[in-house]
Amino acid sequence: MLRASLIFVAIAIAALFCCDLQLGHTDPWAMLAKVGHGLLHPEWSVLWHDGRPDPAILRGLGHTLAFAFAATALGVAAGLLLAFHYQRRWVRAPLALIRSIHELFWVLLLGPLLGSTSEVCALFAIALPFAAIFAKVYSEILEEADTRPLDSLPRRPGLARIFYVLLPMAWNAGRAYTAYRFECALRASVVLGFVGIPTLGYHLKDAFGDSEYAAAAALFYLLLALVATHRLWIRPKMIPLWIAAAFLWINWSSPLSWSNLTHFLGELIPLPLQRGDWAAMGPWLKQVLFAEAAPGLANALLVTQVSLVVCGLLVVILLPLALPQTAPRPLRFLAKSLFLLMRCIPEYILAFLLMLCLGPSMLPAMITISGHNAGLLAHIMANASAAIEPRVRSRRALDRYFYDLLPRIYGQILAFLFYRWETMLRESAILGVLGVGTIGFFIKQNLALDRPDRAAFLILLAGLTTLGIDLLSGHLRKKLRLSSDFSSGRCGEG
Amino acid sequence: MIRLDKLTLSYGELPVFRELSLSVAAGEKVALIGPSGAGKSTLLRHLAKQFPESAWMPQDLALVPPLSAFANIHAARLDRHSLLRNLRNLVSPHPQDLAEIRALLASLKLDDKIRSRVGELSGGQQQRVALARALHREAPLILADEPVSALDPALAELCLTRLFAAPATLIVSLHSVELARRHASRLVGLRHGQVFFDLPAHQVGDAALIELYRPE
Repeated sequence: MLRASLIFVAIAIAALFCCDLQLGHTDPWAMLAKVGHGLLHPEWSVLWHDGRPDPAILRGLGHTLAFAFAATALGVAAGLLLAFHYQRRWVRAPLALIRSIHELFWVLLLGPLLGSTSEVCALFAIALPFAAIFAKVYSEILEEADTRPLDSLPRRPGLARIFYVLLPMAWNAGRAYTAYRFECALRASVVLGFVGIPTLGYHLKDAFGDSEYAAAAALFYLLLALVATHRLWIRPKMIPLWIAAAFLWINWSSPLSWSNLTHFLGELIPLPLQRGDWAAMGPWLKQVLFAEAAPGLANALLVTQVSLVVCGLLVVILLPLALPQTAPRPLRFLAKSLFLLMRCIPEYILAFLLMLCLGPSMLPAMITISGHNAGLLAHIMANASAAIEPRVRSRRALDRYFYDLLPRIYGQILAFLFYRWETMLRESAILGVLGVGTIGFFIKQNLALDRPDRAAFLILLAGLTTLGIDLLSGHLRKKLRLSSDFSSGRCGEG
Repeated sequence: MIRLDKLTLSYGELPVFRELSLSVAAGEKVALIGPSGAGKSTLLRHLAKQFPESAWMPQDLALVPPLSAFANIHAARLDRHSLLRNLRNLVSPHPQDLAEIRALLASLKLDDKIRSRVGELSGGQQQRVALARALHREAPLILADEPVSALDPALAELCLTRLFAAPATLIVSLHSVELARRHASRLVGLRHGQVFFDLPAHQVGDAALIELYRPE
């Protein structure tokens, strides 16, 4: 394990030398000061209008919730059905591709078909990858479920056996994962605002665009509170009502039609092929592969490798602050609050903020990805290791941590990092939309220049690369004999 | 009805049965006894696999903890009801099914727990739910592995009386020789994966039992 870790550190250091870490602004501190001032003095009045909650903000809040609830509901339903057929290759392969494409790319991809700012488009942009992820995780959970009761029941009918044994036995694990996924859906729903869907993120982006940092701060805190407290205001019995309300809220109109669909699919075929001009295919491929895909993927991988290692380091450093074996209660509380904050801020919005201050280099992307994932992992590890009985009785807390606790949980940390590897690649690809030179940048550029064929090709390549990382990570986990079963770690999936 | 001819089973490298032969006629009430590790559970599991239509009560009970006692027991008759009725019973039980299972549980002194989640019941209560599920199946063959091990003597007596009154062929493993002699019509003593004796209950003498349980 140590050797593998050192190899990854070496790769990350080598990657750092190839990275563009320049600060875009001549004076990032001035910008930081402005944003910081806004964050310290939020202008709550933007949330109000004539003494009542601002109707536009309320609508944004409604949309944010509606997309999150409806998309999770659709994802759960489709994912559950697919989970029972997940062993089949022709189910698994397309789902792997679907889940490797980020929600934002789905909006950009489905935009021409469903209307680029339509609510249906936003809904499916979240629901599609979520369904694919649910299918994978639910199938794992069902596989791990204790099925011994089946031997004491009649062989038939299969469907009733599923309801009487399989589903109840998988209920707890499935519920925990679904709750975590809903939190992801909330974040995703906010982020879609940045590409024109009228959720809270839309207002946030507007405020930033107009340099109204105090107003932006108020919105930012509103959405943080929304994500951080969602477990308090969603009561399990109310969930069906929330879902029904979400489906009623959503405006289902979209320009989708049969001719629209065939036209849309036709446009995704490489342009030379559409025109039957095979000779032009060579230059087309050369341009897309060498001028766009190669640098875009290389940059995304650079960001990923550095973020992966920095995330691991952050966790190792921050974790002792949150463990009962090594830290006093007030410190633990502070550390855990920090972890919560780190995981609640949507990655995309954090990167947006940092890029505003630091300019569009890989630095903000790396800070974002490593920070968000470190928050997530440190939170999970702190909960999972709180009950470990110390074996080393040194007076110094750091001795106990480095000589006893860390060696015992290091394998789990590594397993989680490998689990998150593909997700980090997905994230670094998408941050290109904000201007970093990863593949997302080229995808957005092609869409802006009305070249959906090239964008689709690049999205496909990005998806395949993510898949490749997924396979490599699975292989390494097996080779290093890192336990694949850690139910809490599943919440790091996707 | 059941005939095992020179059955040889091994668990990994370790042979559990060497040429074990046993036949049981329809309606017989057989108790399996013998020291720990003699192969009683293995034999029952083997039979449960061989006769998938039997009612099988394993030692670990194999209940579904998140569901109610009612739902766990009703599950034994999933094949006799429509899917709609089965699904409905998960949410709000059909009065007829409820009454039938309540009567069954009353005979095991557990009718007050019919709507409780099985995961919240005590070990002895769970064991009676598993027993009720096996009885509710109304199968021609009931296989039960230590069905009363977690019950106090009075309850054990009551439950075994109910079990052995079932109109079915019974093969039940018991660690209490006393209970086995009193309830079964035929005792099969297993030792080292072989039939040590196979006699009508009233013919099993103390000498044979001492030999059966003699330490190595």
